Amino acid sequence: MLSRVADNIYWMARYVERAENVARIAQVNYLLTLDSVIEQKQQWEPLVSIMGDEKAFYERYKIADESNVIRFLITDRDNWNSVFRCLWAARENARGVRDQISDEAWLQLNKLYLHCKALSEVNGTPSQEFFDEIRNGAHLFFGLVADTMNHDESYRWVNLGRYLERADKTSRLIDVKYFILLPEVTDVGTPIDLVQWNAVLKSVSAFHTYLRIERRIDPERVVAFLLQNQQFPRSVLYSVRRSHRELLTLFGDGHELSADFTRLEEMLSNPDIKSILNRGLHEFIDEVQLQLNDLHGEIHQRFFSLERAS
Amino acid sequence: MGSSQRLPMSLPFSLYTTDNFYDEMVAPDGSIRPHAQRLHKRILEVGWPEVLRRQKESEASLLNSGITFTVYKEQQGIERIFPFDIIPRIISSTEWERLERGLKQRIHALNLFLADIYADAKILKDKVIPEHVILSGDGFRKECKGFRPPHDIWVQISGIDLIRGTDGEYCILEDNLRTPSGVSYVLENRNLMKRVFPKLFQSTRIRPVEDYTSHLVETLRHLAPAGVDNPNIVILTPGIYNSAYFEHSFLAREMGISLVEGRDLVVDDGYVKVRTTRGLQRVDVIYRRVDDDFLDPTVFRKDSVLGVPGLWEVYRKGRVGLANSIGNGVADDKVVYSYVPKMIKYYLGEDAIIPNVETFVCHEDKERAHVLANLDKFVVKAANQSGGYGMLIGPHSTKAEQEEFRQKILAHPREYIAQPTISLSRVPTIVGDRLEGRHVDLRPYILYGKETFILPGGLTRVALKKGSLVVNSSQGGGSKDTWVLDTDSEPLNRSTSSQFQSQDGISVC
Repeated sequence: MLSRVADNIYWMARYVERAENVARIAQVNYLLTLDSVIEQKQQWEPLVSIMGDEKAFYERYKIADESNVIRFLITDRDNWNSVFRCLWAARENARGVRDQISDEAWLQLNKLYLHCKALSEVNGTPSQEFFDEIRNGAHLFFGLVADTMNHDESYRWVNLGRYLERADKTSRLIDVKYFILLPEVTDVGTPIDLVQWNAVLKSVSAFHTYLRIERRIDPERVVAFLLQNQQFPRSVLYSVRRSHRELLTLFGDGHELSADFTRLEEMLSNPDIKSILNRGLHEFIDEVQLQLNDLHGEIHQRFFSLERAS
Repeated sequence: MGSSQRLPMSLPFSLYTTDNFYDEMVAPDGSIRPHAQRLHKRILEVGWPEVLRRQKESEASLLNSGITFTVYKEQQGIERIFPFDIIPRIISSTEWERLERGLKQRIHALNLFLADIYADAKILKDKVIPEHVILSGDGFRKECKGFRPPHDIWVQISGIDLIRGTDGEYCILEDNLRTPSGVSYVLENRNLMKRVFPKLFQSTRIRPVEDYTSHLVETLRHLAPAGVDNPNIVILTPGIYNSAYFEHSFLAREMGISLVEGRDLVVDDGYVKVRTTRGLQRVDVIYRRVDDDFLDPTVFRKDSVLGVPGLWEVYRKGRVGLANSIGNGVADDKVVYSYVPKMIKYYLGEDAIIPNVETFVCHEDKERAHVLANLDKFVVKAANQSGGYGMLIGPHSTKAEQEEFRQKILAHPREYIAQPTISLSRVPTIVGDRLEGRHVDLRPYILYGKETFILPGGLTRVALKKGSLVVNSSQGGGSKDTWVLDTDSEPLNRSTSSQFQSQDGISVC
């Protein structure tokens, strides 16, 4: 497969996955605020923080209230991580490899983009239906990719990119609690704290699954679940493993990059969650994200970079 | 959309006027031309509101499919759909048969001309065409002198524009021998039309266009270097911001070949290769949609980032096939165009079957004087521009614009030609909720390889602005499906029409 094509397909998948994640995070937070006692800024600023976009946000907005943050995350054309921008970028990447993508998948991505574009043009606040449409639309896209395209190299690149992106987004969500300051230190373990963990679980569609396994909301178990559950398709470990598997399918077991994936998987599998929390969850998540970035850098260097000699 | 909503039989044609233009569907007396009677009848059966609804539906479908092109305005690319009108343009089989012969004759002569010009240039020595006209043309590539492409074919893929004047006669308007675009719209328009008027396709024998891409693959395979049985063929595109990018990706998909950009290709070890996730792979044939100037920065434009350094050398050695060849621009220059009938006579000993539009070349003193005296009547064109750019349409121009062109012509007479303003033929077109005549041209596509294949019909471009003669998509033009009838059936009589109606539902979607 052409290096550029692999690059485009990988990024197309990452951007659709990103759009879906941003939409779901915003939606869950929105629902959460409807019956919340926490003041607005505390509710909405963390969403900007976990994307690592505070600087870009405060360059253009004064306060992190609901309408500003939602606009920033969903329709803002100047925010490179907004849902609109992600869908735009996914579509531009797809356009570059239009010949490699099935008509059905392309049509779906294009519709999704046009739908979001229409909203961004009227500058409206998205409705609940809109969030649903983006999320379902993204799933429909990946479903069409899976069922209307050959499971050849291009399909492997879709998944490799998609699950790396998902690993990154779930890790950031776990981190959200670092940014949400509770009103008082003594509020740890109180209803407000639990409501927030509920929200985190819901934002990755993990709430019911988690409860079936763990029965009760316990911050330590929630972190363990989202980091290392081996069956839950949005856990960080699951996502990294899935991405790893696609690499092995593409290039065989002995590939050099495999060791880097394994190292990250081992780190994520650490059974001693308590010690992770004691040393600082935020620092741990930072390290996970750094390793994800390094993996991407290696992939780019080895397979996509056009400067390399052969 | 039941039958109760149907408008009276006479609508929408009752208000339709041909305004002294040649109309492809309606005769001057208001009757429907024989080859368009089935279409006319179907429109009335479906009902006008339903026709309008299908028009809207087809526009939505184009947008959703991303069948768009990019317009450049103030350095910003705007993505637009290429407007599509569902009322087709119909060509009778006898008309088409003559056009086909004329196009074959013309492309044959143009290929012989290119082979001659880059070899002994006999046609110049025999003074059929003035030497300075050729040597001063932008498209002339001195690097090609002495070069012989595979099978001596220079133009494998071309599009030749035809127009029809008030008298209904077809003329050649221009030759596009470099990277003609638009064929994807022909194929997509047909797909769309089959959904819009399915029953009509069942009852009318329309020549298919679907097989274009398989003929194109064969044409490209024919260019593979000797000894390569299963050539690796690619399409070279300038990239997603090129106005014809949709077409490039469309053709790659339809042929199942790779779409590449210049940065994907590299010359390595004397061959053109493509960078893949598993290393370099050899490329045997390139259907390039990048202009000569940008193909190889080591030989042509140094600042080009769209091309492949070293490509020309590999091509010259016959290690990669290229369609079209480099250097064809010399033959589709608008000044050289005026000499094509003479070429046909010179190389083939025949008269041109389809005539040129009367053309005045400004490098000839007498002709220039005539042009300058009549700038308000002529269409003046720059010899080397396309896409409707660099044109003066005399009757629609201001004094200031005429003066500007006067200065341009006097400064660079070789660069300009003039043609009388031709009232292009019209086809009924949906405008708002009415049917009005709009001007059209026709671009048939020709593949020239082991054999010559002409796509039946081609692209009908339509000037959607009232009164406009400019059909280019960059200037507000749209397109229509073009139907070439397989046989010219008898005009409808009562018995066939009742049979027609009985097998035909009211609303087909």
